[in-house]
Amino acid sequence: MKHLEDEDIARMIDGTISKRERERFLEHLSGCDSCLSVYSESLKFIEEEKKNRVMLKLPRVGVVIDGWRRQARTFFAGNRLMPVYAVLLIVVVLLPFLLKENAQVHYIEECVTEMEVRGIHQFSGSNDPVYASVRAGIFVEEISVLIDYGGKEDLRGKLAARLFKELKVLFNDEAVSLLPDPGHLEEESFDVVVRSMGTMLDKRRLSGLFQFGRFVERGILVSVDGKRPLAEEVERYRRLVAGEYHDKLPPGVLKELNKFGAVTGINESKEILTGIKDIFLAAE
Amino acid sequence: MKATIQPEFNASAGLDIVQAEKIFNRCLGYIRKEIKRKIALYDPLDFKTTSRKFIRRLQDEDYKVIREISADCEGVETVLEGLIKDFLIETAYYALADKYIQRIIMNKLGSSDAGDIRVLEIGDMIREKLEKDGLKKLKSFQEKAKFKTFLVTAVTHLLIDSWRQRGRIEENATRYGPEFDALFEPPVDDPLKKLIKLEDEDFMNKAAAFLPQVLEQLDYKEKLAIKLKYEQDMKLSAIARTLGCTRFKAGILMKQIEWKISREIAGKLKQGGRHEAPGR
Repeated sequence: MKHLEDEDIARMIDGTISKRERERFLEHLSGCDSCLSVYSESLKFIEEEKKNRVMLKLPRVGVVIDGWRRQARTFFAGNRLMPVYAVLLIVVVLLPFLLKENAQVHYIEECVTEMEVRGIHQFSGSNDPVYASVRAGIFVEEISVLIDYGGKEDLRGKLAARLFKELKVLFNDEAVSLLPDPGHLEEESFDVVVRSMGTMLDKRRLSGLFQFGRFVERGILVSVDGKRPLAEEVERYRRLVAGEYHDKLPPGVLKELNKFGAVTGINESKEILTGIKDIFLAAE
Repeated sequence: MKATIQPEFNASAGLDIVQAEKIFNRCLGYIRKEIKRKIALYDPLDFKTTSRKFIRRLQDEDYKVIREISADCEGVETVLEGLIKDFLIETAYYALADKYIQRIIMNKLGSSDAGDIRVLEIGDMIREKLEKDGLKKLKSFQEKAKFKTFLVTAVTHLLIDSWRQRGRIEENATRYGPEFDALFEPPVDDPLKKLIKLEDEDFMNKAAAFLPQVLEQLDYKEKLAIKLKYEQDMKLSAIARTLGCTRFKAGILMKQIEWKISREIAGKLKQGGRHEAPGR
């Protein structure tokens, strides 16, 4: 019996073979163990080789990149305007980031400006600790965002002054020891203030309201960034408002919270929470 | 379409430098075209480097290669085509040989040590056979497959042949040592027995005894498919590639053959007084 040529076996492996020839070769392979061993061993090796091909091709990618680099070097070599090109490129890349202001900070700025324009100096329920606790939560959340952002000291100062008023309602003279210098709030000192406030409010059983205020403002700020407040958080505060604070808070709050459904959109969430915020920040 | 080059080529005697240069300049386009046409078969060679090297070889020693074109050749075109083919085979062989020969042997030995003395010895033997008479074996390559595949097949063939000839050629046996004998030693258990999977060992042995008869009844394609799967331990994708069909079709074919074998064996066992069907 005449054995298959090496090239015939190679053609079988490469698939460069006619149908008729394939049938002939298959018939031979089925009866010739010698050719079958050569074929199967070679095929296994070639298949394994295929698997490794990606790795083998990597240096070629390197060659292509080197080629581009060489071309770029030739283009820029001896060009006096190259530093200008470089600066322009950096500016173009960074421009969108430089111009983009934090949306949350922008929102807070708008809120403060609006209150100033409307001349609101005294909020509804100005001497009610319940209202004051919620408002304190709102201001604390806003100040935290500004501190994280950095800068905007004047805005921070205005909000701290409003927070100080609420602390006065809540803790009378102790407010001074809590927030001695509202004009200069730093991240670390503010953390201490918030922690102390939490402890003191806890003693007065008002910390839940303070947290509720923070939740309302946080919900608005995340929706400004195009996100939805967490459903579990909404449900938790809805239960709290409906239960423990049902008599203390104005009825509008629960009504608004009940508007939250399973598939409430981002804009709807923002509207609901802004509605709640307005209840506490309305002019007296 | 092939370029036709029939210059005022007088091959009655050797050419002088001027004539050789003339032919060279006229053939330059043809050489490039021919290498470009063939280069895909000779992976990993690339067109630019290979054509530059070949052209330089022609130019060497005042066009010595062109001047030595034999007198009885039909035309420059034919001679150049042969020269290009030989050059490509030679270059591709030296680019692949070291890595491929070594890896094929290591795969066979199941060794990951490239410095293993057995790998080196067998490698030398293979290289010696391939490079005999100026790569004569490799130069029989007809360019109908990829050169890389051809080389792998040739190396594997040499390895298997060496083992087979060992019984007849005592010299080889002492030279390459007993480890080489173990390379292609057939497994002790018949791998085809994997086809029959029964709990009762006696019953299984009886069924296995019928297996050769049943396999004989299969047609050549079915027999090959079973051999590839159970003897050569090939994957379904490789079987499909061999049979020239899709993986899905190959899978169905395998199932059908296995059922056919089961049915046949069950029938034979039934005749022998047992009624249980062999499972798979």
